[in-house]
Amino acid sequence: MAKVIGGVFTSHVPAIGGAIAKGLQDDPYWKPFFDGLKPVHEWLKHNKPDYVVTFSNDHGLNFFLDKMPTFAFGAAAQYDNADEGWGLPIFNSVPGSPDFSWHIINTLVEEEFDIVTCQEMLIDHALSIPLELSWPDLKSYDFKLVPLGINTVQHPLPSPKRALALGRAVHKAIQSWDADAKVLIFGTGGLSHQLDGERAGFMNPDYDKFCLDNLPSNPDALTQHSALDIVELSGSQGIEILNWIAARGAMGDPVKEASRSYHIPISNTAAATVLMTTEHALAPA
Amino acid sequence: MDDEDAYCAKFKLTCEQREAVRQRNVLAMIAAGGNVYYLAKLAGIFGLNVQDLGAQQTGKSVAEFKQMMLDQAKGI
Repeated sequence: MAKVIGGVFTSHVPAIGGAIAKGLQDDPYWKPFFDGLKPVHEWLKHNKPDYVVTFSNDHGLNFFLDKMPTFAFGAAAQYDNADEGWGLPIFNSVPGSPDFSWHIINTLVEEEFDIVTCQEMLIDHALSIPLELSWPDLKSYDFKLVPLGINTVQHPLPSPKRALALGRAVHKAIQSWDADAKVLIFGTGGLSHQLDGERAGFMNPDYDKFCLDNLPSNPDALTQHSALDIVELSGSQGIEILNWIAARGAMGDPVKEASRSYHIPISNTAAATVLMTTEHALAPA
Repeated sequence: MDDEDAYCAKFKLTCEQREAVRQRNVLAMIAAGGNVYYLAKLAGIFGLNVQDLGAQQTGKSVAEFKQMMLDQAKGI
């Protein structure tokens, strides 16, 4: 039976990719954010996953506005990045695991989540940046990626309740995978930010604190708000917290918070990095 | 980008959309159906980053817009 060892939750602001490319990790603007990754690096030295299951939103690399799946599950043997138009270097490719992906897909459909399956899928900065942040020195990844895309981009959006239930169904699938394998979960995006409209630049530290305080021990608290409530509370892009909620569901229970960092602003975003661990983590964080 | 009219025509932009793009007016682009997740890529096209976009949409200078975001860090 496969086991979830932990979860890495972090923002995926494109400008972070620019800072990595330019080596600005110790620059005064960037240092508070990058320092939040140090506990993750230390923990990952002792905890090497076989699989990384990720929850993020695509930004137009796979899906344009003409075709927008609510939940899209990758089942490819390899995931490549491509030019997204930011002027960033192309990120590393990541190997996939069609077998494990199809096991989770089959379980999700049995659980009545009618997901879109993608036997070809590009990964965008929302995945590549968190991977680069977590393993900055790896030139090639030695785990297999299983990526799940959630529509946080074009309304109507899935509800937080549905995102949490989806994550919990993924956890059930992980537990029923007949392999002695370690699984690490990623949830990316957020926290509060709004790029568009007269309210551009809006952030909400109080709501972000509510999310960070409750996500480890009481994730259901985050489902008291609808997706539109969260747009109001957290900004039109703060709704990327849906990725975190689903990822938290995929970790199972109980989990403990091993590290937390929160910093305003990175680009136009309240940026955060959280490491949560389970009883199956190999070393104390 | 050598022939902006031809490029916009290729993707069948409406008059309203074409005018919003011509004016580089982000609020008008959104009003005409744009989505900022995609408009943010103006960074790679015109060199307009999300601070430039934010300043334009809120009627602030870029420095004022950045200060407004910094101010939100107070008390955390």
